[in-house]
Amino acid sequence: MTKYELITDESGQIVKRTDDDGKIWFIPTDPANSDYQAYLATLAANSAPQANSTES
Amino acid sequence: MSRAQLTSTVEQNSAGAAAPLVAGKNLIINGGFDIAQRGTSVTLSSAFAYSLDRWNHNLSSSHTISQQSTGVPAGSRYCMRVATNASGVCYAAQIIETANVVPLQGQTVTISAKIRRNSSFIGDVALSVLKSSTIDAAANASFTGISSASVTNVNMPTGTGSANWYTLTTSLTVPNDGTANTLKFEFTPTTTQTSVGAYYEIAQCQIEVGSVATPFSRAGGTLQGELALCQRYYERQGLSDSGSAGVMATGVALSTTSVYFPITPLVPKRTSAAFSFSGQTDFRIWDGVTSTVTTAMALFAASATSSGGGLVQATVSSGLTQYRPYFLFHASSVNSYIELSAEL
Repeated sequence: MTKYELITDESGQIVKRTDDDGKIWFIPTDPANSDYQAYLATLAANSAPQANSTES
Repeated sequence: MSRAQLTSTVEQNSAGAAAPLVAGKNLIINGGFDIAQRGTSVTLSSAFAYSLDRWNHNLSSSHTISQQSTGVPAGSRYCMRVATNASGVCYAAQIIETANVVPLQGQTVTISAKIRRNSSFIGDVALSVLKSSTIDAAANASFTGISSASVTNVNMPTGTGSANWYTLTTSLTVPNDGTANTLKFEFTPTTTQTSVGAYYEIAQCQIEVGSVATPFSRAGGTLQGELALCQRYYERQGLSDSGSAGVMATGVALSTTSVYFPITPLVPKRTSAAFSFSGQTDFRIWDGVTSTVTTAMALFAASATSSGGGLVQATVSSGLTQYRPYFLFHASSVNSYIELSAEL
């Protein structure tokens, strides 16, 4: 199950996605990036607060 | 080229006859399956994942997608095989971004592709063009069909020679009413496969302006042109450079445990890119004297650029000298790589 985590560092925020196979992606919070769109869609589907880990 | 095809080509180019192999005629990138940055055989189990460059798969079970070279059609070196690992179905699709769809809006276009199967593959296959009103819609967005061609199971060759292919083709008009800002070119098997090892193969995929299918041509013309087109969406840095000479980047330590390395894309991306790494401990950093294996790799949050670059933070357990320059290398005996993805 894909797992999302919103990470905040000293420069801003980035989405960390862990895939089923353990592969980790770091996704910029750019609305034009389709991986970020998928994250937002998952958030909307789960109605989860942004700062929490989210699964899809 | 047949006389009919030649005539069509001439008619489609008001300036006169065009060579059959010409960059830009075909809007399907990697339609000849020459480019395989993710690997020449990729096993997928999640829907809407990518395999050979630019090819995306909606699927209901594990499938292995591979580049094949046996019995490909004349004029190509490879085809793509979609093979079943467990009962289910797997589509093969390419998303055409808005910037490349706009020149097609209001135009008659022709799609063409070659297809065959093995003896255990059941059911028919359709080749469809679908549309979305969304600008640069992602692969998993909602699309609606414009037109399709299909082939029945019995008409799909099961041989493995270069002549054992069925050509799918149809013409359609791309709407110019705001409903077709992104296009999807998709192969859809109509039946759930029940035999492990059942597969279909596709080759020479093309969309071109005009009402007749002309001979296949790479979108980028040359192999290098095709690679560059693919790398607008995805690239993998470092894989082929493994070994002690494989410097991947140079950076500076900002603490005793982390170094920041700027990563510049080989080709500017469609938009800012997501980053991934072959493994968190697949890299080492070196100051000319001491080499240290990484414990974590990450993309620094606000560093992603609109062209796909970014600042990668490599972390080690201890021992760095703050503000000292460092090289980023592959760890010993590891084919480490960094992935940049701006796919749709």
